[in-house]
Amino acid sequence: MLGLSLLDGPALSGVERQVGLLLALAGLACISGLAAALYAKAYGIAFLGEPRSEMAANVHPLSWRTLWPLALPAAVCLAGGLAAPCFFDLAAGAAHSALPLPPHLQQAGLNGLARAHASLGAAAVIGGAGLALALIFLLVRKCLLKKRAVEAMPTWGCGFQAGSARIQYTDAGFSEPTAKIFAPAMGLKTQLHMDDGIFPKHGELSVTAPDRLRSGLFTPLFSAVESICNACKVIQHGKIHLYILYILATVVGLLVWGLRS
Amino acid sequence: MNANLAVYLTQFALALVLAPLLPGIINRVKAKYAGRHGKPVLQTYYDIAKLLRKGEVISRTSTWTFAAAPSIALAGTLCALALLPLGGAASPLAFAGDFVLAAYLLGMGRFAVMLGALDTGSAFEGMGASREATFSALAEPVFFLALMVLTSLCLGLGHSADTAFSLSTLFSGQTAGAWLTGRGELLLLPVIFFMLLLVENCRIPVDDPNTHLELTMIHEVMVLDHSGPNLAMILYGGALKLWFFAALIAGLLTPALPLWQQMGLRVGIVLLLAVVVGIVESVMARLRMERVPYLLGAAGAMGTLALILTQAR
Repeated sequence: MLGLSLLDGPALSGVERQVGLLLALAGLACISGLAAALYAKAYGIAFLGEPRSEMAANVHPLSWRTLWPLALPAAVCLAGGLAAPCFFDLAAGAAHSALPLPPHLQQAGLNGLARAHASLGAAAVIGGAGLALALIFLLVRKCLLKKRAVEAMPTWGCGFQAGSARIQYTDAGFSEPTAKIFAPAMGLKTQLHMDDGIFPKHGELSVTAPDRLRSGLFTPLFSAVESICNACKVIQHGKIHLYILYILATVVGLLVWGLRS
Repeated sequence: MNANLAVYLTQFALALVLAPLLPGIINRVKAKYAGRHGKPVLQTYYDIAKLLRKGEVISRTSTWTFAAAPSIALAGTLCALALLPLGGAASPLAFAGDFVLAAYLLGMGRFAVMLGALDTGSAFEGMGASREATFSALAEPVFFLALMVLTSLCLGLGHSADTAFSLSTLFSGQTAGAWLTGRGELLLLPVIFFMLLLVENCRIPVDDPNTHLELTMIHEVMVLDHSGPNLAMILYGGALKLWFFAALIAGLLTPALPLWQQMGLRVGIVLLLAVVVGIVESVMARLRMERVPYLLGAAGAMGTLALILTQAR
């Protein structure tokens, strides 16, 4: 829905048109591809492959009695996607009650709601069809394998003789190619010190990835807020007679404001 | 059943049946260039049929994620293909913004295959997943940029916002018509989509599907551990994805002819594109891995130029 709102940019004229386009491009371009990469890294490195610690190696699966409360939100998310038009209508009704549109915009608003409802309905149908197809393919695979040999073996791979967490990709290794490309924006710094001698000694590799948003935006912003708050401490000194003076000054100020208005 | 739906269903069935022909044509063209007879054109059909009759060897390290990944990838690709205006007929599933869903369905399939690769615990398959994640993250913005050019064109041609954001309008043949009115910038679009076809389907110069050196692979290294019906699904899904991107280019190049003529022309262009891919793979070497982002950057620059020129009119 957000994407569609942004994509309306070309329908606008002048500067708004360009801004709409740029926002659409920036939003859509950044979200999808990087999100897939990040989720693959987060889930793949944390949960898949050989266990990376002794604690992880000794875990045992939990019973369904423990897991069902976790499955519930996932099922609700799925239902939210598949029944998106119904949820959208509910949300639109609530939004309309809280912030009713002016009369001259009501028809356009209704048209927009109908468009959004139709788009969500089609997306839900295709999503449902995709889910059903995936389940059908799994079922077909199960049927095909019923009378055939299914063997469990160590992972096949060139030189992969024994599964070990030490040879698996780490989160840093997984995101390294992406990080290299976005290094100028992320401020990634790599320093490699190698001995150039015929018989090289130990080398050193240092990779630092500073949090640009934290150091460039949040830290200065909250430091400024802290300075302003510290400056305001002058007002709070513990002298009661001066507090009474503040109250008096406020009351006089309010009286003057009240008389003027 | 109206003519529009009949053409769409016929073309969809043709896509499902003929998609495995594309890798066969590519391989045959490459073989001819190398002075060999090469594998039969129907080799992918034989491979799929053989794999469906086999059992599976599953890694002990893997979980259900590995087993389910090919089914999810194939389902995602099929749903994305169903959104295309195949044969010039609008998809019955079309809606405003369906291209976002199509891109995300393909992304979901890629995501599932990446997780399947990481599930095996193999360093090589992790490496393939990492590379796939990187290049797909770069290809996605280029894809949307090219679609934005088409959206802009459609709005310029008088389509409403209801229809201009749908694949069925964007690839309905008006781009070929717009060229005749002197919109030369649109000539960049087939080039951009062809580059995307090569990147998304891991063809040379981005990846070599025939290489046996794992260190240089992207897609093939991710599916090293799959066998039997799951590998068949991966092969078939790959062929369908190739058809998807070739059909996008066919949609750009085909003018708005009567539906049945468009249908034949589009199938012809798709098959011809397989020949072009074969020629490209025969005359070009693979790019070094760190050069691939430059290729996508060039596609992005062409997309931006086309967008600016479209907007400037």
